[in-house]
Amino acid sequence: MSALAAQPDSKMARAMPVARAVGGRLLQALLTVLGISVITWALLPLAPGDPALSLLEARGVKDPTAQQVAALRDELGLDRPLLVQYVEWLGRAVRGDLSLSYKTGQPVLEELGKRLPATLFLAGTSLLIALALAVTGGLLGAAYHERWPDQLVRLLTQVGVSAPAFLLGLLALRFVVVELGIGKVLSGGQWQYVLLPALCLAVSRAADWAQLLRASLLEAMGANYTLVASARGATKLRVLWRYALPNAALPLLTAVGVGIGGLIGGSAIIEAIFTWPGIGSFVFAAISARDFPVVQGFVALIGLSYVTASLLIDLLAVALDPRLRAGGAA
Amino acid sequence: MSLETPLLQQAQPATTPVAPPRGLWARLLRHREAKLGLGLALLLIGLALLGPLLAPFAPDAPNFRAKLEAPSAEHWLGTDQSGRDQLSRVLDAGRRTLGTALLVLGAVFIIGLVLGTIAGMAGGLVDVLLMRVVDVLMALPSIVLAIAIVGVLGPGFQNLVLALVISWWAYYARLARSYVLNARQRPDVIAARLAGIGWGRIMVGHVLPGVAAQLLIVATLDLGSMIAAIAGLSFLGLGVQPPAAEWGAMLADSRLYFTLAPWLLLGPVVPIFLAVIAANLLGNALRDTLDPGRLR
Amino acid sequence: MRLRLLTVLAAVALLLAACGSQPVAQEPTAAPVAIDAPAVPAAPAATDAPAAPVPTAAPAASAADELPPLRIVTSFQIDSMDPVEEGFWMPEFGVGELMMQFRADGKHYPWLLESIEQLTPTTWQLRLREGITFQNGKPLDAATLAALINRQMELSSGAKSNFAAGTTAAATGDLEVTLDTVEPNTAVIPGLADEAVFPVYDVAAVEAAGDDFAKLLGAGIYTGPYSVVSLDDQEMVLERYEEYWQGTPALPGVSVRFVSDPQARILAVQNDEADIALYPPTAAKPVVDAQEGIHFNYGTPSTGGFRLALNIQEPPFNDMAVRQAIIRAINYDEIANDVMDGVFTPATGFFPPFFPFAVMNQATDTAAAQQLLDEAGWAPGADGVRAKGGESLKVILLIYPQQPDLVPISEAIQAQLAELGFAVEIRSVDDINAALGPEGEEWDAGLVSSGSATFGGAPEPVLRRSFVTGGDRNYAGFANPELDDLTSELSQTFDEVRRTEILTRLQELLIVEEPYQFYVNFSTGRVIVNERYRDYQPGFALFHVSYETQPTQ
Repeated sequence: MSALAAQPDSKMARAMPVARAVGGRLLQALLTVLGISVITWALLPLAPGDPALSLLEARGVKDPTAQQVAALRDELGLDRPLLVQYVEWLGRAVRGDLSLSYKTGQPVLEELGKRLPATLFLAGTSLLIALALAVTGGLLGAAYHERWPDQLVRLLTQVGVSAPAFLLGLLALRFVVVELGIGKVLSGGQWQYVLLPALCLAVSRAADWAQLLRASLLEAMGANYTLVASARGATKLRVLWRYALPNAALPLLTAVGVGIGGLIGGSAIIEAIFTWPGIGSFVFAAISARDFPVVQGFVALIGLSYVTASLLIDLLAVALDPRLRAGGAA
Repeated sequence: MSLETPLLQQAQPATTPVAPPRGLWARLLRHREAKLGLGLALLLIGLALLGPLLAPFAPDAPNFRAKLEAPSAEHWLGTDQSGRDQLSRVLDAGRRTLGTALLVLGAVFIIGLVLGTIAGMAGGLVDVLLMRVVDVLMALPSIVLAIAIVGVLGPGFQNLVLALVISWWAYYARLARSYVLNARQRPDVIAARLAGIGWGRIMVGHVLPGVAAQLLIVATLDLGSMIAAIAGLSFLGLGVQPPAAEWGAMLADSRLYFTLAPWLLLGPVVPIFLAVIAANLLGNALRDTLDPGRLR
Repeated sequence: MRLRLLTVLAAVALLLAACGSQPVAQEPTAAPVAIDAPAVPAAPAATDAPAAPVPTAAPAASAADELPPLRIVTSFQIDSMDPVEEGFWMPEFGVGELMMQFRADGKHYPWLLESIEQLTPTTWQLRLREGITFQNGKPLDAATLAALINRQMELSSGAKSNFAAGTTAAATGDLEVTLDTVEPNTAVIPGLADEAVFPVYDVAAVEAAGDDFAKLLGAGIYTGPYSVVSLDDQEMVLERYEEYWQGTPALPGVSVRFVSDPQARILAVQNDEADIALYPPTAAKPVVDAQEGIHFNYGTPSTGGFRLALNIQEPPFNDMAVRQAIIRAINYDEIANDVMDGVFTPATGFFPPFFPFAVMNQATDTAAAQQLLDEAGWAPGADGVRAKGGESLKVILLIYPQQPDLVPISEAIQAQLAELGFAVEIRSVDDINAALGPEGEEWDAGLVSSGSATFGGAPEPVLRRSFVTGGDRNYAGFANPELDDLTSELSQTFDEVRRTEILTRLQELLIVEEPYQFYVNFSTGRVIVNERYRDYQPGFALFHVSYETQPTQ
C-alpha cells in the first residue's frame, strides 16, 4: 500500500480529484443512459408491424380503416426522418411518457413502475445472499487452504458456477415448493417467499465471487505485509481478517460491479419461473402479446437500474480506495 | 459479462502481456482440471457430431401411440409427449445447441477482434466512437438485450443468433482493444517498428496472434454462459422453435410432465450441466496454463 | 479501512433491504389496491378499500356450514372496471348478465329477458323479467335497459359490429323495450347473447363515475350473483350479492387471480392455492389424470376449433383435386383421440354437432384421397412425394406459438399426409393473421384457432369474414358467387326452415364441393380442478361461474 504515502496534504487538494472523478463518472453515466435511450428507441422501428395499427387496436378500435391508420401515423410522426423521431421520443421519454401499451392502452411507465419494486427487491435480496455466500466461501477456502474445507469450497464453487440460474430455479420450484411444500407457487411477490428465487439467482454469482475472493485472499496472504504480520505473531484468522480481506475487497467490488448486470438480467427468467410479479415476468407476457412499447420500457428500466448500480459501486470504490482519490491511475 | 467500471479498472495492476503460446498443449495436458474438462468436452462434441448417426430414431418423428414411455431397451431415455425418442432428440439438440453456441461465439470473436483491433490501432476519433458504442451496449445486461431483440423481431433461430451476437460482441471488442494497446507497448513490437517494419506485418506477425489467443481464452470461458443463454432463451420460447430439438426447449416441455415422466427432465438437464462444466473447466485450465503467475 | 469497508457495506445492505422490502412487505395478501392508485407504486391504499373476503381454503367465519370462497386462476388479465372495454369479462365470472343465453344445445334462451318477439323485420319487443335488481339495489327496468343498449351502440365496438349503425332502443312500458334495428338483422338474438355486445350494467351509475373507473369498484353496477369489490393487476375479488334475483348464491365470494404461465396455474391447483385453473394446456391431461387430488375436466361443447386454411391461389392447392384429397386424407380421429387425448372432438363437418343445423359430411377416407390424387395425375416420385407437371406436393404449413396445441397437431398432420405423398414443412410465425394476409409470408396452408360462429351463436359473421368474396379473414381470395348470395340471403331470412336449407347447402359447398377452410377438430371447454370441485364442468360459452357454482359436498 505504498500509495498511501503519495497522498497530498491539504483537504482541498484531496477533494479535487475526488470531485473530478465523481463528476466524470456521473457524466459518463449520463452519456451511457443516453446511449441506452437510443437502443431502447431503436427497438420500435425494428419491430415488424405498424405501430399505428397496433395502437388503434389497443385503444379498442376494431378493424381500423386505412384512413384512421394514416391519421395516427401522421400524429405520431412515423413517416418523418428517424433522427427526428428519436429526438421526439426522447423528449417524451424524459417527461416520463414511454408511450402506451398496445395490450392495455395504459402508459407503459405506469404499468412497469407498479412492478419494478418487486424486481428490485428480488435482485437486491439476491445480491445480499450472493455476497454473504461468497464472503463465507472465500474466507473458508483461504483460511483452510489445501485442507478439506477448501476442497469442498472449490468443488461447490465449480459446480455453482456451472449451474445456470434457470435450471436451478426449475428444480427448486419442482422439488422444494411442490414436493416438499415449502413456499408457494403463487407467491404474489410477498417478501416471505423471495428467498428461494433469490437463492437460485444468487448461486452462480456467489460461486464466481467466492472463487475470486479466495484467490485474492490467497494472493494477499502471500504478500509481504501479511508475512510480516504473521512473523510478528498474528494468528491466521487475524491476518485474514485484518490484512488480507481489505485488500481483496476491491477486486471483489470490481467483480460485483460486473456481475450485478448478470443478476439483474437473470432476474427476468427467474421471475418467469417463480411467477414473481416483477417487470421480467411482465415483459414475457408482453412479448407474447407483441406489446413492443412494454419491451422498450423494460430495456430502459433495466438499463437505468444497471447504470445506477454500477455508479453506486464505482462511488463506493472511490470511497474505499485512496488510490482512486489520489487522482486516478495507480 | 458486462460493464467494466473504468475507475476500478485503473486501480488494478495491468495484466501481463502474453507472448504467443508455445508448448501450450503439453502444459495443458498436465493440468488435472484440463484433462477432465477436455475429456468431457470431447465426449460431448463427439456425441453432437456423431449424434445423427448414433441416434436410433429420427429426432422429429412423432408416434402418438407411444407417448411418454419410460426408458426401455427400445428407448433408452424414454419418449416425450409426442412419442419421439428422447435419446435421439438429446443428441440432435446437442448438435444444434453446441453448433449455435460456437456460431455465435465465432461471430462475436471475429467482430470483437476486428473492431477492437481497429480501435486500438487507429486511436483518435475512431477509437472514441467505437468505445462509446461498446460502453452503451455493455450498459445493458446481454441477456436482457437478447430478450428484447428476439422479443421484438420474433422468435426463431436466425433472430436468436442475431440477438446474441448483437448483445455479446461489445465486451470482446473492448477486451481486444485493451490487449492491442498492451501489445503495442511490447518491446518486440517497438523494436520491429523502429526497424521500419510496416504496421501491417507487425499486426499479423506480432500483435494479432497474441491478442487472438487471449481473446480465444475468453471465448472458451464464455462458452458455458453462451450455452446457458441459448438454452435459457429457448426455454422461454424465444429461441429455437418446435419441432426442432433444443435442450432448453425440451426442458420447458418436460416441466408439464414431471410427475408423469420425470425422466424427461434428465435428458436435457444433464447435458446442459455437463456442457457448461466442461466449458468452464477447459476455460479455467487454459487461463491457468497461459498465465501461470495466478494462484490456483 | 476495514471498519470503513464494513460500515459502508452495512449501510448499503440496509439501504437495499429497506428499499426492497418496504413496499412489498406492507402489502398483506388480501388488501385490495385500486387499479388507478396514485403514481407511487410503493404506497399501499389498503386503508381506503372495504374489507374484502380473504380467499383461503379455511371456511369463512359466519355460519358453521359456510362454504369457503372459490379460488380461480385464469390466464387473462382484467385491466379495469370500464364496462365498455372490459365489460365482457363480467358474465364470465358471474358478475354481469346478458339478455339472452346461448346454451350447449345450440339454442338461445331468455336470461334477463322474460321473452323476445319480432314484431316487424326491423323491430323487436324485449320484455324484462320482474324483480331483477342491480347489485346496488336499483331495479332493472325498461328505461335502464334502453339506456344501456343505446350507450353500447354509441361506445362499444362489439355492439357496433353486430348491429347496424342507428340501432336504437326505447322503453315502451315498465318492463318492455322496443328495439329498432334499422335493417333486418338475423343475428339479433345471438347478439343479445354475446358477452361483448350488451353486458347489462347500470348506466346512471357508470356515467356518475365519469372517467374514473376505480369508483366502480364496489358500486354494484351489474346484476349477477357476485359483485366486484377489488381489482388490481394480480387479482379480482368478488363478494356475494345476497339479493340476487335467481336465489342466494352458493358461495360467499370468488377470487380470480391472473397468472399468465400455464405451468404455474396447474401447480397452483396442485399445491392447493387455487380450486379451478382455467385454460389449461391440453397436453396437461395425461399428467393431471395420473395424479391424485386433481382432475382434468373437459367436454363442454364449444364453437371453437382449429381450422386449416388452404392457399387456393398457389400450387398445389390451386388444383381442386388436391383440396378434396386433403380434406379426406387427414385422420381426424387420431388428432382428437391420440394426439389430444380425447379432449378435442374430431371434425365431422363445418359446424360442431351440437348445432341443430350441423351436417356431418366430413370424414377421413384415405383410399378416396389416394384415388383423387392418382386420377388427377399426381404421381409419387422416387422420394415418395407426389408430383405433377413440375409441381410437387410440397406444403408450407404455418402455425403460431400462441396456440401450443398446434405443435403436436401440425406434426400429426405432417406424418399423416406424408403417407399420401405430401411433403409438409411446418413453420411457426408470430402473427398468423398477418402471415396469411396479403402482405404476409409464403404459405400453402395455415392452422388457425377460430370459431364457426360468434360467442352468441351466430354463423353469419364468420361466413362473411372468411368465405364471402373480399372478407378480411378470406386469406386466399375465395370467391364463390353462390356462397355470396346464400350468405346475403341468410342474413335477411328469419324463417327457420329456410335458414336450415341455406345452411345445409352452404355446408355442402364448403366441405364436399370446394374445401377451402375447414376444421381439423372441435375444441371443448376444459379446466383443471381440485378434489372439492371435482364435479365442476367447464362453462359453456366461457361462463365459468353461476349462482349455483359450488364444491361437491
